[in-house]
Formats: sequence, C-alpha cells, structure tokens
Amino acid sequence: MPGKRILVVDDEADIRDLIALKLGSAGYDVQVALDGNSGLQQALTGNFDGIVLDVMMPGMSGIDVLSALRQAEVTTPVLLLTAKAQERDVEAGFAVGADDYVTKPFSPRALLARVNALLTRG
Amino acid sequence: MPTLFPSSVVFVVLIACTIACVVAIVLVTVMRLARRVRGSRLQRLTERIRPAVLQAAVAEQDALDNSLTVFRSMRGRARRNAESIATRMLYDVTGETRTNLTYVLAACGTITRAVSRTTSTVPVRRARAAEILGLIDYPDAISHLIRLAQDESDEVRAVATRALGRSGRPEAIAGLLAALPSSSGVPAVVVGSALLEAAEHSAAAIGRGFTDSDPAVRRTTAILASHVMSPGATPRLIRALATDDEPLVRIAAARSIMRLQTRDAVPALYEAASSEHSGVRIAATTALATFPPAWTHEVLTDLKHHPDVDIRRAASATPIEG
Repeated sequence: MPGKRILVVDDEADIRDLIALKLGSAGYDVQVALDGNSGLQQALTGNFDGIVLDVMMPGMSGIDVLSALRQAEVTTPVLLLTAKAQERDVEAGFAVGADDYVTKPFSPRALLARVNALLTRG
Repeated sequence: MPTLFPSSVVFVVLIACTIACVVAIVLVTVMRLARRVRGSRLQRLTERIRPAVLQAAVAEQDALDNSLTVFRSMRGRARRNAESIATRMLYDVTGETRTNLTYVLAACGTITRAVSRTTSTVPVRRARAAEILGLIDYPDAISHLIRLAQDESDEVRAVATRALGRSGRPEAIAGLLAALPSSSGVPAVVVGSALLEAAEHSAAAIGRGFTDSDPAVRRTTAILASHVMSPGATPRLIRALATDDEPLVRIAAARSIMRLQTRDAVPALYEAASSEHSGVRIAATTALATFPPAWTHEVLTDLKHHPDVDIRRAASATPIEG
C-alpha cells in the first residue's frame, strides 16, 4: 500500500521503531508519536489512513486516545497493540471503536498483514 | 573564661574539616561528571548500534546475512550494547523477527556464552543464561533449560521454568510437568504461568495431572484446565469437585467450573455447597450464583435459606429471575 499514511503510537522506543521500520519497508509513510497525548494531537490533525496504537502508555492510555478520537468523529481504522496479560483491554478497546488488535509478544510480519487487511477493508 | 581546647587545636580541627568538605565536594562533582560522560557515551553508542539491530530484526532472509556482518566484528561495550538491545526486544516479538534477533545474538557470541554459563558455579550467571536461552528461537536451548529447571538453586529453577514456558516449544512441556510437584521447589504459580504460556502444547498434557498423588499438582491442574481449555476438562473438574480429598483442590475445581460455565456441573456444585469445608461451600455457591438463572433458580432459592450466612450471601450475589 505505497503512500498510505500510518501513525504508530507507542511509548516503548524499540517496539515503536521496529513497527515503523517494518511498515516503512512495505511502502507506508509512517509517522510516530511517543505517548498518548502527542499521538492524539497528531491523529486529530494528521489525516492518517490507519493508526497502530499501544494500549499501555503512561498518562493517556491507548483506550483514552481511541475514545477521544471517536468522540471527535475521527473514523480512521485503529489497530490496538496490547500485552497478552491485558486482553481485557481488548474488550474495552472494541467498545470504544477499535477495528483490530494484536497481542504482545507479536510478529511484526503478522502485524503488517493485519494493517494491510485493515486498510483494504477501510 | 576557661576554654575546653587550646586555640591551636581548634584551628587544626577547623582546617581539617574544611579540607574534608572540599575533598568531598570535588569527589561528588567528579563522580557526577564521570556518570554524565559515561551516560552520553552510552547514548552515542546506542544511537549508532540500535538502527543496526532494528534493521537486522526486520531484514528479509536474503538480506539478513549482510545485516549480521557488523555484529560479528563487535567487541567489548559495543557488543554488550547490541546484546542488550536485541535481548530487550525479544520479550515483545515472535515469528521471523524473533528468529532474526536470535541470529543477532548468535553473531555477537551471546548464545555460545549463555550455553557455557549454564554450568557456571555462580547461580546468578546460570539464571541469566536460562533467561537468554528462553528468549531465543533455538531448539538446542530446551535440553539446557530442562537441566537448569532441576538446578540446586531455587532462583535458577524458577527462572529456567519460566524460560521453558516462554520458549513455547512442545519439547518444553515434559520439563514443565516435572516442575509441577511441590517437591520441585518451584512455586506453583511460576509453573502454572509457564504452562499457560505454552498452552498450545500443554493443554492435552495438563489433564494427566488430575490423578497425580501430589495435591499441589492436582490443584494447579484444576486451575489451569479451564484456562488452557484442556480436552475433557469438564468431567474431570466435576469429579475433582465431588471426590478429591484435598479441599484446596475442590475449591480450585469449583472456580474453574465457574470460568467454564457448564450446566452439567450444577448438581455437583449444589452437592459441594453442603460440604464440611466452608471454603468449598462458598466456592461452589459463588460458582452457582454466576451461572445463568435458568439453570440454578431452584438450587439458589434453597441455598438462600442455608444456615451459613456466607452461603446465603454468596447465593444472593446474583438476583434470581422470575
């Protein structure tokens, strides 16, 4: 999907950059945000085609960001990234409008496939 | 007015105190500067090495060997930095990326060192070796981990057991089941979590624990059976609830049945609600109260008039329809 714009929001630098690199290698135009607050600001103003959003972040969590986005009527497809032990977050995520989720530990290749599918559906 | 000490002594003491203060201030300043220099040197090193680790982590098969060249020539601090970054990432990734990061660690010599440290005389080194061997995608690691799961040190056994679970390999299950008995010294919660991590391969094997002579094994089995959806779990849990000698096993069975929400278990739960053991009675009644009212209306109505106040409270936790 060359040229499609994706926002990756994760406070863990290694994971954020790994995802950005993997999506970038597939031709996506990837922007990153270091926490929930800046992720929300970028998502509201950046006109993205998809968002990969970590759930567990200090301050504003991924669920808070997603909830704020949907309240602002931003319908960009969102894929949640959550720890295996916090699968209950997935329920909360879908309740506020998530489109898909991936649990950590995750395969970046599988995540790319899910992003591709998400953007095709969206 | 008489003085306690001659003025010359007071003068010498004051001078000594001043010198000591100045030396302390200089030392603290030097230490802080050294720490800052070390920190910025490490940051520069990480900025140089991290992109190489990331590139290797997502490299396609044909480009991987090229990406690994840089790690093979690394020495000292640079190599330790690459190891640390790759190890940190391994906690969060699976699949091809996990394999690629394993190759990075192999190129750094980390795996060879970890294998040789499994026989170190220092328990901390053996534990660290087990931690690394559990993270990597390396089939030969399992035999080392099974050996370390029977190490003389409690700490090493626990780390190796966790690592066996994290490896997610079918060969690890035998080692994990061997750690289930209380005599293994590994806390049941550690073994249970490890078996849950390897649920894909452990579900069938877990069922065998219901007939073990060790109550700790039976209790952990009863807890895990509902989590991993062990085949045939429901009848085994019902039997454990009805017949096990150990109240803790019966309580675990009642809680597992509550998670599974099985109608077949209602008679056994009702029977257990009149058990001699108060923990069993409460666990069974609590489970019944979470079931759909259509299944439990009669038994809960009865239990709401039970002489034990805890049972009455548990039975009333969910309102009965109709």
